[in-house]
Amino acid sequence: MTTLQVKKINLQNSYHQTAWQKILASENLRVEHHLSYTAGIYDGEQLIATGSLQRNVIKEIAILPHYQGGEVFNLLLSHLMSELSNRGFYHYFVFTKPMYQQTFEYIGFQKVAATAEACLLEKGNQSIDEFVKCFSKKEKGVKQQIGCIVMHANPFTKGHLYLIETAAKACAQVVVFVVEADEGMFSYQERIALVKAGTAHLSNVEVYGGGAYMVNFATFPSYFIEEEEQVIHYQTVLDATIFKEKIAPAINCTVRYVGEEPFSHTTNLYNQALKEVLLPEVQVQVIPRSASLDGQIISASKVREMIEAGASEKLADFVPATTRTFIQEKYHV
Amino acid sequence: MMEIKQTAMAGTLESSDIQITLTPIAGATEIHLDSSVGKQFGEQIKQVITETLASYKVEHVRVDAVDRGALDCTIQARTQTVIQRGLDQVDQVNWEVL
Repeated sequence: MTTLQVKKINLQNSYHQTAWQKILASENLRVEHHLSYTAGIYDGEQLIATGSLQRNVIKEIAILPHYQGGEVFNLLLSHLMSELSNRGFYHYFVFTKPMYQQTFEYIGFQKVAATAEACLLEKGNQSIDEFVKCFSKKEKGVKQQIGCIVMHANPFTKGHLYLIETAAKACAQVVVFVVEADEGMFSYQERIALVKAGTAHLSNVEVYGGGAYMVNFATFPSYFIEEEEQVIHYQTVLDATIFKEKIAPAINCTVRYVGEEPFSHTTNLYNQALKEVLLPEVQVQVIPRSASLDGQIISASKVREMIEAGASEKLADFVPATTRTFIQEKYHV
Repeated sequence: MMEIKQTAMAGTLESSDIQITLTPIAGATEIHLDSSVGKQFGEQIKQVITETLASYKVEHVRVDAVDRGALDCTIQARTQTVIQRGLDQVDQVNWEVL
């Protein structure tokens, strides 16, 4: 098969786009947008295989049945991996169907977690086993509760503080993970600094970054799912499974705390998935939202709205003094 | 001692090739090998990599190698390339060790 050629596919071109969509359809993959790079393998003029990158995630791998099983797959993956290293990514993921787990393990990927419907694998200079070594393992007492909270804290509000304080009262130790994905108004560095500053008075609370492994919605692809609701379900179940199998045992976590979510459908589904997956090994405590003095529900999205509108009057009701000072300095609000 | 400055990769997963990733670490050098012929040639492959690292005086690295039946000369060439890339000296080849 010396005629095989690997090329970048230009998806702006409708001729190439049609050929690409056809090959995805033959493997029952959903057409995804926002891909950073798409490669194709051609046998003569015919597109016979494709794979894409979205940041550090390999996705949309499709190979025509006749060419499956070895050479074409290796050629395609070699190309995508050298493309990843050209882009400076040396830690990358594949999100795939469970049936392909072994295929990827064979070329050096390691499983992060698998559910009935999906499998996440990683390769490169970081791994989840290395990641969990950074945490100090807590003493496992008979009645000792070790609580855990994962939060985005964009930015850190009195609502987050209330959640952590509630956990800190009930548990011997509380570990807070801050989501690292930089998608929002406040950067990861800013967010984790504010969580640390806002919880400095609580001696049994530790704050860590969540790495690539906790609530990384942006990087968990889900292209082989038809419906939005299903997409969310897949991702949340996988996220919960990673927590249950890898994170919770590393810190001896016995209870995961989450905030009640009256507004966001996605977070609601996430809380549901956590209960589905974590029980009975890890308890799930849903804490009702706290309200500001005049009865308004506190949320980080409202804080961001206030900053954008330059409305400073109620900010001090919504965020702790440490966050208030930071907002003042950064946004002059 | 030569210090590996950045993670680097060389080689492919195609038949008769080897893909090598080099990452600087704090501890002693580790070699992780996945090979289709690991049972027969695993030790020899590791030895070629170890010797090539030694000729460049490279220590404190993690080597991840995915072998697809590469010959020793290929293993050596891929290891040299990945070292040069890791040293960020792609255009100043160290001819003396070759």
